Amino acid sequence: MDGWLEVHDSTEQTINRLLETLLTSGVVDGLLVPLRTPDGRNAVPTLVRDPALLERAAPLAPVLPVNGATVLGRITATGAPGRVGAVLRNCELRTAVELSKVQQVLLDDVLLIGMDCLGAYGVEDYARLVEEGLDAVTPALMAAREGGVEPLPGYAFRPACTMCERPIPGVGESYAPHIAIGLLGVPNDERLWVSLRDEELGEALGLEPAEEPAGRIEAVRALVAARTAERDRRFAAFHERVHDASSLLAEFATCILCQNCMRVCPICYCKECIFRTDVFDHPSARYWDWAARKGGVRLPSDTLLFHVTRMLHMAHACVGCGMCSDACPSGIPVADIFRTVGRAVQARFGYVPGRDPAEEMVIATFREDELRELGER
Amino acid sequence: MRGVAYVERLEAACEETGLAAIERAVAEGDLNRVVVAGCSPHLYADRFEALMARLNLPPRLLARANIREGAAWAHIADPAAATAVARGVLEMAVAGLRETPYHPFNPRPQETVARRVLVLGGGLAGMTAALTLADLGVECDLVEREPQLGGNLHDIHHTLEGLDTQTLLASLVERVRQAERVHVWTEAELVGWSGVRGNFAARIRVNDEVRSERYGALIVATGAEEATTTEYLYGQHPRVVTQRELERMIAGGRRQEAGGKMWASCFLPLDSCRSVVMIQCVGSRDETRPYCSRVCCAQAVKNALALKRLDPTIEVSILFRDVRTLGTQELYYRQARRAGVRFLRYEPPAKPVVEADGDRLRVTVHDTLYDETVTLEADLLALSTGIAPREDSNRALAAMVGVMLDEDGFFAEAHPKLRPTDLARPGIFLCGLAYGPRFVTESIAQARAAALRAALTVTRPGEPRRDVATVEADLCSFCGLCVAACPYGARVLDEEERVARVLDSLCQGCGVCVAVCPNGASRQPAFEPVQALALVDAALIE
Amino acid sequence: MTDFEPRIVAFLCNWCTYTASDLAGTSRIQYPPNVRIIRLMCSGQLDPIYVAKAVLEGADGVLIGGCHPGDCHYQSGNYKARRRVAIIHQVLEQLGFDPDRVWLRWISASEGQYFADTVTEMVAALKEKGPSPFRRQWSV
Repeated sequence: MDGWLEVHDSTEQTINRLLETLLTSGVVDGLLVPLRTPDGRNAVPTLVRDPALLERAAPLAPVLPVNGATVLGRITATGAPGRVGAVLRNCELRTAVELSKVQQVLLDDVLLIGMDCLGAYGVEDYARLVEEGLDAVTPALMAAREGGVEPLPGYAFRPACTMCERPIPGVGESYAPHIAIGLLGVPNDERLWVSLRDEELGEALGLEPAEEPAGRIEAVRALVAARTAERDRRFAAFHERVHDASSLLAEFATCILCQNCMRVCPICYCKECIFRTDVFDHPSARYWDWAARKGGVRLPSDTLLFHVTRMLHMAHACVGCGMCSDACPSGIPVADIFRTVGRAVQARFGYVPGRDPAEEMVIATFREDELRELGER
Repeated sequence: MRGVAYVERLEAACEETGLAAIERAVAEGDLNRVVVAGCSPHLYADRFEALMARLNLPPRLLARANIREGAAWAHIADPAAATAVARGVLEMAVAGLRETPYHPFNPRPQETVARRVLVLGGGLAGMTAALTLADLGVECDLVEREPQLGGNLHDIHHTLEGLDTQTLLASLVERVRQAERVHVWTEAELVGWSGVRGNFAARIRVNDEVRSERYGALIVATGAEEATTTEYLYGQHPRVVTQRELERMIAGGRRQEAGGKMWASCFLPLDSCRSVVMIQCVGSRDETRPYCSRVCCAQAVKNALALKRLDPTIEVSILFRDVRTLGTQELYYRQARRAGVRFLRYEPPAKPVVEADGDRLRVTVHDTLYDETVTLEADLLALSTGIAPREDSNRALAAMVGVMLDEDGFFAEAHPKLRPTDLARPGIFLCGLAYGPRFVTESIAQARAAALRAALTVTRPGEPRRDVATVEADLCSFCGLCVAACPYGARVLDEEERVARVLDSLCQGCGVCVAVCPNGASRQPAFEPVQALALVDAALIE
Repeated sequence: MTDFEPRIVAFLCNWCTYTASDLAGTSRIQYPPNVRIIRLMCSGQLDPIYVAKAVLEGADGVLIGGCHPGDCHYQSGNYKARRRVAIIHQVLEQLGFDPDRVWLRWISASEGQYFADTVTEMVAALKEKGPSPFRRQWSV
């Protein structure tokens, strides 16, 4: 069911009231939603059970300190005692879908709430703009009314956001959440465009059924086209930069092997990475062997092997959330690399991460009649 | 080479003197890892396994460096290259072993085995399997769905080679009834199945009563059936019959038989038949039933020869696509030609056309060998409809016991060459027509093989397993990729502990679960990831 | 590059391709001495990390050998290996590494000659390509 939700006072307050209704009416028993930290410089996913706390809810705050699907896993994987409404950006929604395939998120008792993503800033940038007294939300909503998505002057969105071609829940190859709130290409200071999975909820929320406005369809199309172009530009730039062994080594030359990219990657769900297990706990003599064979050995060892293995393990399911780039202390564009590689692997199998929880992961299945040329002379 | 404490040159490491020398060296030098450089690890694996057991060392701490097949022989023309490769192979064996952790070896507990086999299906294959088991001293239950034993054998009167199958049937039924170790349940059906090799639990319905039994192994001998057809006026004209019905007529099958599925046409007096036409590959080798039923060519030749024996003046024409009389059956084909049986080759889509001509039939066929269209007048038309799987019941049984069917609807063996009587699930074996079309003699041979496999399963004590996969619980993320990857259902998720578990008796040691596990929580004790990586390093030593 | 001798790391399944390599030996079918064999139980046992390791440590080629489709001793391990190799190819290609240095071949136990031919062919192809760019690369 699709229709309009009237905006009273502000857009954010309208969304917060909707969340409050869900919680107080018992549709959900808890909400996973970003709350402004007491100092206001961050908005962090919080499991809320007391509706009073929703006063601080900041579903539109353009910041992504952690991939919300990872924390959704924490509160559902081993069985949630109640139903949780999860407010997620579209990249987080894709992540939740992927993680549900590997038992790290249980979607059974989750009411997914998505909204048009108008871009996000890095945590540091967001804190700085709050310190500077800037309001990031209002101008973004104003721009969105006109169909545009632009960062504040002097600021830039996270690189992953600029190349995200799936910012709109339920549109294109995006999974449709239970509630999708549309801000783009609609008069979002008067009414919000809401898509629901089931009718009943529509009545509870006071939704007014309508046809999707042409202006919104056009704005979404234009945004997706622009993002796709930026994505492809970044893919091309990566290939321009990295085309052989020495340029590949150069790309990772500044890596300090802190493994932050792996730790923040929501798709790297392993309890402990193989690179942190006994498998890579080499006896001292092994290093001497390598040094003898190759003349020397970079230490810590296996820097490139770490990254390549991660690509082999998770690139097929990379949702492009960009947490890896955010976390890299050396400024390596990890997300660009993984998205480029991931895109190729995904295309090979026609796999779209985050599209559908029922779609089997690339490495979890096979077909007898595929890839027939492989293995033949 | 680092880590090597002792080297000895042996004439033959695999012989008793060689094995004794290794044993002595290990004991005297207090060594804990052994490399044998010599022949392929495919040879004498059991001897070295026994050696390690005597040394009280885990078998994975012995590595075989294949310097014979892999080096000396492969590069026999270039001794320097052979030596270099041998050195490399040895480096690898030592490197792999150096990294192999020395865990104290805990053989897994022995499994208890139920010394009883369930044979499903009381036809030729099932009865043969049951009797073979009995002869091997193994108790078995023979479960048949119909009221009587015998299955398809009732409809086969002799083989092409002249074996009297009705006498065989009578004697089999008699022997089965007499055999002390064979317990026959007719009008009975398997309704429940669970457990693992050596210890299955079955529920069998006999006369509205459900019995629970324990078995160590299962033999599937549920058969198949003659395919039916609606082509060529079958079922519409009384003079159109199947090969099997013709066989019954020839055998003097005017007597009413139990089951009573016979066509009225079967009672046609054969002596009114002056001209008999047979059509091969009816409903076979086409899109709906792509496989060849293997037996029909021989069956047609058999019936043609029998007709000629009854009366040499009967005209017999066989319309075929390819004559597939196998092996020495070719001699009977030649005999049939000499006896005047005509063979006309047709090729789809130009199939023969059959028209009713009053009481008789007219068959028109384009003979591709002479490239001309021939019209035959026939008193009787016999159709080789081939053998069809009992698809619905096969599917239900396959789902119940956890095995696969092939694309034709027959049971799929674990491996066509290496394990032709095994089904994919350990402890479940296969024989007879359930496996696909085959001759009487082939069913007998396969039933004996299946019985032997089943007997070995239930008479050998459960062995400690060394090849099964393990899970490092601390590392396991409960993602379930190993469960999806395991082709044997040997992996389950333990919801309570949030860890993947291995069902030892189902695990075949293939290692697919190891490769799919991203962080090495899935392990194979005989091939740890540290070993693999060390082997790669050693393989690159120049 | 006539004096360049490529080094191939081969991962062969126990039941088909390793047996074929044995057969090549017992039949005295000669092939170039450039291959070092690692025996796996099944091609499906091939962890992609082993291939990445071989490539980054400077192997000029990696050969993966398994049973023909439909013939896997473990039912479907070779199909799983095939998917994995496709992923490996994609990743390597995107990173600017020639994916044609990693070969997958179905070689059955009876195909000793084909095993030898494959090694011969691969050695020739790798000689054309020249040494791996990661050969003796200390900074990987």
